[in-house]
Amino acid sequence: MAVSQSQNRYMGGPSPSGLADVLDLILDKGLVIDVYVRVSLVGIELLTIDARIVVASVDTYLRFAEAVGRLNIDDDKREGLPELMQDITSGAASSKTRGVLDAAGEKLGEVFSSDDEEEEREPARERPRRRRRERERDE
Amino acid sequence: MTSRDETRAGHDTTSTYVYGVVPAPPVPPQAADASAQARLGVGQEHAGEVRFVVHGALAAAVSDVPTGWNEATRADAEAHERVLSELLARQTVVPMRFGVVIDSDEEVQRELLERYADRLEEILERLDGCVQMSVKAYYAEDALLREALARRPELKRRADELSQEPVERTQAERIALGRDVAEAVEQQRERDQRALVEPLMAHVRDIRLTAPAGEREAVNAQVLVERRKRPALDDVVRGLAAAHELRLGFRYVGPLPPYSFSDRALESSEAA
Amino acid sequence: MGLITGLLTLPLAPVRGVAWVAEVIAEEADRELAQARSPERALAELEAARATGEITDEQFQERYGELLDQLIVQRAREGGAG
Repeated sequence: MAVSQSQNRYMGGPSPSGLADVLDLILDKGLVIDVYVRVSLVGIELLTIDARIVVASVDTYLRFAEAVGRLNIDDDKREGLPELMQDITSGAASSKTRGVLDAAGEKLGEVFSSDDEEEEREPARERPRRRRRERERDE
Repeated sequence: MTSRDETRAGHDTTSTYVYGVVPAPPVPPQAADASAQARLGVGQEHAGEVRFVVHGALAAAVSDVPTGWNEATRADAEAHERVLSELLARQTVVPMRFGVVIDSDEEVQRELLERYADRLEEILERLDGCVQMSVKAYYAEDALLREALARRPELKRRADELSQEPVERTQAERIALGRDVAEAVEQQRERDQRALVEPLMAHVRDIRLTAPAGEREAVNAQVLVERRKRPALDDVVRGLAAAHELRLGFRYVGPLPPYSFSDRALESSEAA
Repeated sequence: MGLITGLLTLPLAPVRGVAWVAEVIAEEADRELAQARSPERALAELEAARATGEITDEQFQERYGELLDQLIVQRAREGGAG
C-alpha cells in the first residue's frame, strides 16, 4: 500500500500545471461579471461537480462493510504505519492542530465551514449541473 | 447590453474574449516568448493575438473571437490557461473564468474596467505579488480504511462476525456496519485534512478547501501565497509529502493564476 | 450487477413501506452505479493513481485525454451541454 517512490518528482518543487490540474478552476472559479456572454465549452463545463463523493447511501455502506470484511488487518504492523498510528492515537497531531487552528482564528474556521464548502459537500442528489447553471444565471 | 450592440464599424463580426485584468500599464511579453504562435488566444483557427484594453489604472488582456462563437473545446481551455500563466509570470493578475466574451473593446473598457474599477483595484491589491498553489493529497490504496479501522477495531470485529453469517439474513446489520465505517472513514479524512492544512497556514495569505472529488482524496487545498514566501511553502509541502510518504501521494502544482481567490461575480448592484 | 439484485431481493417484510424502500434503494443503487462508472469518477480515480505513483504521468495524460473526450461526447449526446 505504500506510495511508490516515483511520485516523488515533486520533491524538486511543484509541478507545472496541466489542464487536468486546472480545469475545475478555469471552469468554476475566476472572476465573472453580469454582463457577458459565456462561450459554451461543449460538455466540459459540467465536468467537475459530478465526481463529488456521495457517502450517505446504501450502496456505499454495503461496499464499505464488504471492504472491511476483506481487509487483512494483520499486515497493519508493517512499513511505517506504526509511527503514523502512534502519532494519531497519541493525540499529538490533533492537539497541535487545535492550537494552531485557534491561532489562525476565524480564517480557518471559515475555511472549514464556509458556504462554498457546504455547498460543495452537499451530496449531488439533484442534478448538480443544473443547480450550478441556475446559480450562474442568478449571478 | 443589447442597447449597446452598435460596435465599431467594420468589426461587427468579432467580439472580445477576456482573460483577466492586470494593473496598467501591462508588462509586455519578453522577446523570447513573443513568437506569433505563442501569442494567440482562444478560438483555434479563428484565434486572435492577445492584446490589452487599458482604462485608467487597469488593463484587460483580451483577444478577438468571432461573434457568436460557441464551440470551445479542450484546446481553448488550454489556451485560456496558457495566456493567463504567461501574464502571471510577469505581473499580478485577476483571472476571469473561462468563456467570458464581451461585445467589443469599448464594452470591455466601459462595462468591465470603468464600471468595476474600484472593485477590480481592490482585488488586485489583495492579490498583489501573490500566486495560487494547488496542494492535493491522495490516500494510498486502502490506507484510509485501514487507518479508520485502526482507531475503531470493533468495526473490524463486527465485519468478521458478519462474514460468518449468510448475507440474506444480515443485510440490515451490514448496512448499519457500513454506515459506521463510512462515518469512521470521514472522521479520519477530516483529521488528516486538518493535520495537512495546519502546517500550510503560516505561509499563506488565504486558503480555499474543496470537498474531496473522489474517495481517495485526502485534501484539496488551494492557497494564495506571496511569491517571496513560495520557497518556505515549497519546503513545508515537501516535508509533508516526506512525512506521509507511505500513506499519501501529493500533487503540488503551480504557480497558478489566483482563480480561487477571484471567485466572485461582479454585479451591477456593486457599481458605484 | 450482483449487488443490485441482492438489494432488490432483500427480505424487507418487517419494514413499513416495503415497496417504497425497495424502490428507493434500487434507484439509489442505479444512480451510484452510474456514478461509479462515470468518466468523472474515473478521472478522480486517475488523479489518485497518478499522485500515489500507481501510474506514470504519461499513462495519466493518455487516459485523461480519453476520458475527457468520452465525457465531451457523452455530454454532447445528452444534448444538455452548452
